[in-house]
Amino acid sequence: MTMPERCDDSRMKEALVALLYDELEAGERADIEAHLASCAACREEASALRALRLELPAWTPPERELGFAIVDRAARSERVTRSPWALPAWGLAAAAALVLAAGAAIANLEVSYGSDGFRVRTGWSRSEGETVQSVQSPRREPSAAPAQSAEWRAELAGLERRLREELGAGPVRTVSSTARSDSEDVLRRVQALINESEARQQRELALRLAQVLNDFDRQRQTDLVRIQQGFGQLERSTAVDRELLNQFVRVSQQR
Amino acid sequence: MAWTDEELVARSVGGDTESFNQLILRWERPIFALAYRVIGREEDARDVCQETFLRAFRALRGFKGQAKFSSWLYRIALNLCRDWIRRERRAPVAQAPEGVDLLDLAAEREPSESIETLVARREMSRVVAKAMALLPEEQRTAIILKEYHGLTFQEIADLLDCPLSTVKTRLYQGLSVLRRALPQDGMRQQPGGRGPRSEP
Repeated sequence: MTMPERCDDSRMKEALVALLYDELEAGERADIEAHLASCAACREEASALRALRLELPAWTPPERELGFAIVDRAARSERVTRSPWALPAWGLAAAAALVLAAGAAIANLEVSYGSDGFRVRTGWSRSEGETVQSVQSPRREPSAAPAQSAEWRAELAGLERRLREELGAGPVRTVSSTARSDSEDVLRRVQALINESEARQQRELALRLAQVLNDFDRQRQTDLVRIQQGFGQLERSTAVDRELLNQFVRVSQQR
Repeated sequence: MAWTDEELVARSVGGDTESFNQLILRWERPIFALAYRVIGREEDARDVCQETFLRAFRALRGFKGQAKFSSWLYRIALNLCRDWIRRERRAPVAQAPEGVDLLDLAAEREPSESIETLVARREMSRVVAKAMALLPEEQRTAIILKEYHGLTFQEIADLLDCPLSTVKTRLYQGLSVLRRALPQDGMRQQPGGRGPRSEP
């Protein structure tokens, strides 16, 4: 391409852009460089455009995690159906026990078995007074099992007696008795776990409450000391002012 | 050994989804950056990016290698951006986030950069984004493809279906507008200022 004479010719602008991005066609470079050597306006423009290009990289898109991926539907369904059963039986049992324990701890669960049959109850339905008592009296907390606790313990003791009687009743009932004995044993363990969890939660709650009270008390004492110090300073300052005033009065009376 | 785009495309056409996922991993950031700069909204840019790869995956058998895979992706993304602009019936926003989050800056900063430099860089990003928003879509797209993605004039002409001279004219006109809109002493005075680059 031959360089045009006029600087405002569109071909001159194209050549300038090509020079800027180093994409000049063969033979163009010598022409445009010769033109720039003789034309101050184009030289200045080329310089300004180069400087402008140094500023453009400042505009950056946000750095966010994208992580797109095509998911093979067949492979996905296989993964979904296969993965739960890939666990061994003991793993599933352990997971079930964990879920049960966690659920019991959260729901404050109470399980009992008595003359009226198997009974499950969540602790949230307990009376408010009972809860307040456990919060307000942390020192009584280890022996804080209320009357209900004694009740189900008695029921459990009765249950144990009945089980022993059943076990001693003869070989015909052995299978069912053994099965029931196993389930009662599990029940007792679950109940023990729940009791431990409850006691631990109450201990932690009481501990935190005591810490808050201690902190509050300490802060209050610190504030009182500061206030007293402030009053002391104020009194001293007032005494000095009073002394000065007296001195002024004395001096003025002497005159 | 890293597969080339063409090899990964061939494997993807053969049914290997993971090969296509490698292509996504390689190109998702440039495509997201392109969409973000053209339409200026992060969430919409993500959607465009996702849709680009979905369309590419569905149309993969129709891709005969007449162009580079990246150029093909760029074309799909640009078409989607145009659809977005048409659908929204408004000019692209093309704005950087207004607020300067110092925690974000601190997280992304290089050890050698001071927080002042980072704040200045973020401010400059906002200024450039605002200046770019002033440009007509054709000029802005040409500058984005050239400055931020390093495409040649010919590649841009092919993508935008216009003559080579039109690409150069759009670039010149766009840069002239930016030259007037941007402060003359921006990044040039900063020690952390960097030269032009391409992605990736």
